[in-house]
Amino acid sequence: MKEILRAEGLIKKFVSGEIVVNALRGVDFTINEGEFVVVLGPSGSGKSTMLNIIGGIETITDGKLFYNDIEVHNLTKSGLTDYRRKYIGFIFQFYNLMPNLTALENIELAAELTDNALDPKELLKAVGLEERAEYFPAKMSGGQQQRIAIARALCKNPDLLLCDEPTGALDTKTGVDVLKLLLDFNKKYNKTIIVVTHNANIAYVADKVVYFRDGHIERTDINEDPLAPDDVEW
Amino acid sequence: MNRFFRNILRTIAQNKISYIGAVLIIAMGALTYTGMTEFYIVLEEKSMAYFNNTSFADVFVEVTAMPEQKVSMLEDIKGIDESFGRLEGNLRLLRDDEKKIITIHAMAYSPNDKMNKILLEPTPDNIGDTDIFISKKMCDIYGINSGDEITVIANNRTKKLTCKGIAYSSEHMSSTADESAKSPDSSVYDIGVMSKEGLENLLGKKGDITNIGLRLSKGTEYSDVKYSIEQMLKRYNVVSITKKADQDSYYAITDEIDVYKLIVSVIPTVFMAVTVFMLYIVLKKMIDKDRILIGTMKAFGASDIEILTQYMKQAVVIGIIGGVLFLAPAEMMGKFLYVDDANYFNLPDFNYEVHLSSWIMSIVISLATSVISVYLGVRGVVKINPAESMRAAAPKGGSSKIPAFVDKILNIRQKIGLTSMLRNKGRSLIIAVAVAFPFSCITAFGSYNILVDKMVDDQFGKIENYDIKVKLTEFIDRTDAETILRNMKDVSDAEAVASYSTLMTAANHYEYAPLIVLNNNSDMYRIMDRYGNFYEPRDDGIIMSHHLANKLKVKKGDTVKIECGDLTYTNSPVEIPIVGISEDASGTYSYINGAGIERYFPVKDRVNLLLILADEGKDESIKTQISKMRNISLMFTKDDQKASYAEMMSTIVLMMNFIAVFSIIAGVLMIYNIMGISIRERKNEFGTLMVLGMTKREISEIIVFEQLINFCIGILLGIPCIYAWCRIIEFAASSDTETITMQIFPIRIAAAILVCVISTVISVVLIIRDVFNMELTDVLKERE
Repeated sequence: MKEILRAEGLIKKFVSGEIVVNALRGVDFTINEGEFVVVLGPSGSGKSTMLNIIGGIETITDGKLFYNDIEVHNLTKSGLTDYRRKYIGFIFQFYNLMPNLTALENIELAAELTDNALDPKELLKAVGLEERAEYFPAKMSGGQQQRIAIARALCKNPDLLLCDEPTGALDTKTGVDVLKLLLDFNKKYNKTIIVVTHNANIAYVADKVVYFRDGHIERTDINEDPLAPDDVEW
Repeated sequence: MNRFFRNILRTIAQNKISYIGAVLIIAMGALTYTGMTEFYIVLEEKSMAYFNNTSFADVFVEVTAMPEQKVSMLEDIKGIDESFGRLEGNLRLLRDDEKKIITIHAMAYSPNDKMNKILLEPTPDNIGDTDIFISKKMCDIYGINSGDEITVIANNRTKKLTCKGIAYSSEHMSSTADESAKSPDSSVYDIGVMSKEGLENLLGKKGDITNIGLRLSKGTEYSDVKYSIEQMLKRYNVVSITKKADQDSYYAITDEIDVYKLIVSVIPTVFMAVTVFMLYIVLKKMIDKDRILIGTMKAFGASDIEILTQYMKQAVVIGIIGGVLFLAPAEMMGKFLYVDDANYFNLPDFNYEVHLSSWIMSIVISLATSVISVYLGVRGVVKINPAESMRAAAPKGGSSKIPAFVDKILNIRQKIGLTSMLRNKGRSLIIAVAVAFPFSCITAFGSYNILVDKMVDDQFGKIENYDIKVKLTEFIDRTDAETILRNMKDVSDAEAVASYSTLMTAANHYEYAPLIVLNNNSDMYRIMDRYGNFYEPRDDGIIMSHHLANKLKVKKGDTVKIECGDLTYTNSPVEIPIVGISEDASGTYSYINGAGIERYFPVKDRVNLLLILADEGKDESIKTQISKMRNISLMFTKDDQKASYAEMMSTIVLMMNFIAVFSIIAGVLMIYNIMGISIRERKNEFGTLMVLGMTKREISEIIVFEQLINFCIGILLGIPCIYAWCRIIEFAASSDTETITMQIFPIRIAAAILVCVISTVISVVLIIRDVFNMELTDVLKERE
C-alpha cells in the first residue's frame, strides 16, 4: 500500500506565560492510503494534538510531517488552508454544526469549499437522514447531528478523514452506526481515516492501532484481521 | 460559502435586538455627523452665494456724507477697480402700541447698484418715494404686511410710508444697533430700503452718499489702499474703513461658520469614534459566539479571506442600513438648524437643498464604521489557528482574590458576582464604559444650554444690571445726563456711561472696537471676567478684554493707539496704556473711566448711554417717558437684550441639545445591548447554577450585584469623561469673540444618572427575564 502520511520527530509545545506544556515529545509514524487507523490513549496523552497537526489546524513546534509529497511542516498559513481544503475532512466530538443552517445546508456548506464534492442529498440519504433535510441541528439528537457532521465531512470527498472522538458523545448503538458509516466510506472510496478515541473497542475494527502516552507513541499494532462493527462486543 | 453567510444572517435574525441596537448605534452616529455637517455646508454655500450674488464689496467705507459724484474719484487710487456709493441713514419707526424706540436703518436702492446689491421681495417695477421694504424679521415682529402704512421720524419730521415688501441686504445680515450691544435685535434695529429720491428727501441729503463699497484689483490687498482712501476721504469725515473679512455681516457669519466647522469636525467625530468602539464591542461579542464555527470552517479549509468576506458582507449590510436609516432625520435636523440660522442672519434663501455628497458620506462613514468594527471583531478570531479557535477563549487571568475586608461583608452570591467580575475585568469594563458614555455626554452636552442661560443672566444681571438702556443721539455732558435722569419718575437707580466706536491699532494689527466709559463703584455696568472676578475701570489706562488683546496681539503693559472722531478731534491717534486684561466671556471691548477719558483725550467726560433701573413694576412708565424724549436714538430693555443674546447662541445650543438627546438614545441602546450580550453569554454559567439548586432570586442577586458595581464604576469612569467632553466643547464652541467656560450643573448630573439608572434597570430586568426563559437542557447542551 502506498504511504500517504509520514511523521518524523514531531514536537508540539504549548506555551502559556511561563507554563510550557509538551503535548508531543517526538512522534514518528507512517500511515498508508486506505488505512483505517485508530489512535488510543488517555486524556492529555497528545492524540488530539497529533490529529490537529495532521489536519493542519495546529502548527508544529519541531519535526517533519509529510502528506504524500507535501511537506506539511513547511506550509505557510495559506498553504495549510489549501491543504485542508483539498485533502482533509474533519469530524468533531461535538459535531460543530452551523446552528442556523438546516441539515442539508450544513452538508452543502462543505460542498461549496471543493470542486469534486459528493452530492449532499446522496450523502444525507446515505446517513439515513433524508427526511430530516430541513431540520436545524437543535432539533436533532446527538447521533443524528454526528451523522450530519459525517456527511458534511464526506461531502468534501477528502482523501484523509480525521475524526476526533466521533462516538464520544453518543450511545453505543448510535456509536456503532456512526462507525459503520465511517468504515463504509473507508472501504467504498479507499479513503484513509484516522479516529482518535478513548474507546478501546473501536481498535478491533481498525487496520492499525496507535497507542499514545505522555506525548509519544507507546506502540503501534497492525490488525491483520479487523472485525466488522457488528462483531465487536460493545 | 453562501451557506456560511446564510448561517450568519440567521444568527442576526436570532439576535435581532442586539443587531438592531448595533444598527441604531451606528445610525445615531451617522445622523449626528451628517445632519450637522450638511447644515454648515449648506449655510456656508448659501451665505457665500448670497455674498457673490449681491456683488459684495472688498472694502467698506462709512463717511458722514459726501457728494455722490465724488465717489468715482476713489477709482483713481491704484488698486481700486470700481467704486459705489449709497445713501444710508436711520429712521425711527413709530408704533402706536409700542413704547420701544425702533430704528430702521434705511438704505437707498437702485436696480443698477453695482455692489452690495439689495434684494427686494417682491421685485418691484419701480419704487415710489414713500415706498419702503423692511427686513423680514422686523416685519414678523411687528406684524407689518405688504401694503401697510407705517409712520417714521426722520430729520425731525414725521412721514407716512407704505410697506411694499421684504428687503434683504448682505451688508446687514447681522447688524447691531449700537457698538456696545451684544447681539442683533430686530425688534429695535433692522434695515429698510427706499428709493434713492425718497430717502434723500427724508434725510435731507440730496445728492449725498454715506456708505461706499470698493472693488479691489486682482492682487491688491486692503492694506495697499487703506491709507490712500483715508487721505482722499479725510474731508468727508471717515467713520470707518473696513475690509471684507472684517465687515460686520461677513465676519459674523464666517466666524459662526468657523465655530460650526470646528464643532462638526470635533464633537460628532468624537461621538462617532465612541459609537465605533461601542459597535465594535457589540459586534465582537456577537462574533465571539461564532468562534467555534469559524474554527470549524477553517478546519474544512475555508481561508481567512473567505471567512472575513462573509462577515464583511454582514458589516456592509449593517453599515448601509445604519447609514441610510436616519438620512431623513439627518436632513430634518440639518434643515432645522439651517432655518434657525438663516432666520437669525436674515438670509433670503430658506431652501435647504439635500446634498447627495453628504448622503454618500453618511453611508460611507456608516459603512466604514461597521466594516472596521466587524473587521476588528473577526480579526481576533480569524488570526488564531483553527484548533485554538475551536476552544472557548480562556479568561485573561489576573488577580481574582477578593480583599479580606470585602469578603467579610459579602454573601456567597455577591462573592460569586464579584469573583466573576474580577476574572473578567474586560467584560466589566465594557459595561462600565457603556454607562460612562451616556452619563458623561448627557451631563456635559446637557449642561450647555444651562450654561448659556447663565451667561445671559451674568451678562444682564451681574455685568449689565439695569432694566432699560437708552442711547442718546449724541454725546452730552455728564451733568446734563444726570439732570435728565433726576427728572425722570419711577427710577430706582440710574447711571450715565459712554460707548465710543474706536479704531485701535497696535503695531500692524488693528480692530474696530468699542471703548466703554464706566463709572467706578458702579452696580449697573461692571467689568467681570468669565470666572466671576470684577474689575474697576481705571484712569491710568484701559482694561481690555482678552479677545481684543488676542486680536491686537497685545498684553498688559503694552500700549494701543486709539482713533475716534468723537474722542480725537484732530484725527491723530492717542496712545494709551493697557493696564489690565480681562478674561471676558464674550466681546471685544475695552474699558476706562471718565477721568481716564479726560486724562488721555482732548474731550470732557461725556456720555451717550443712560442706564436705568425702574422702580418695581414701573418699566412701562420709564419707557413711556423715554419714548417722548427727542434726543433718543435707541432704547433696549433688559428682556429684549437677553432674548437677542440667547437667540445669537441658539444654534449652538440646538446642536448641543441634539447631541445630548442622541446620547440618551445611544446610551440606552448601548447599556441594553452590551449588558445584554455580556449576561446572555453566561447563560451556561447561570444554567449550571440553577441545576445546582440556586433559585431565580439568588441568581438575580448575582446579576443585580454585578451590574450595580459595573454601574458605579461607569459613573466614576464618567467623571473624567465629563471633564474631557467639557474641554472638547470649550475648544469647539469658542471663537475669536466668545470664550466658553464649561460648567457642570447638578440638575444635569442628576438627569444623566437617572437616564443611566432607568436604562440599566430596564436592561437588567429584561435580561434576567430572558435568562430565566431559557430551556435548561438546551443551554447545558451548548458548548462554551
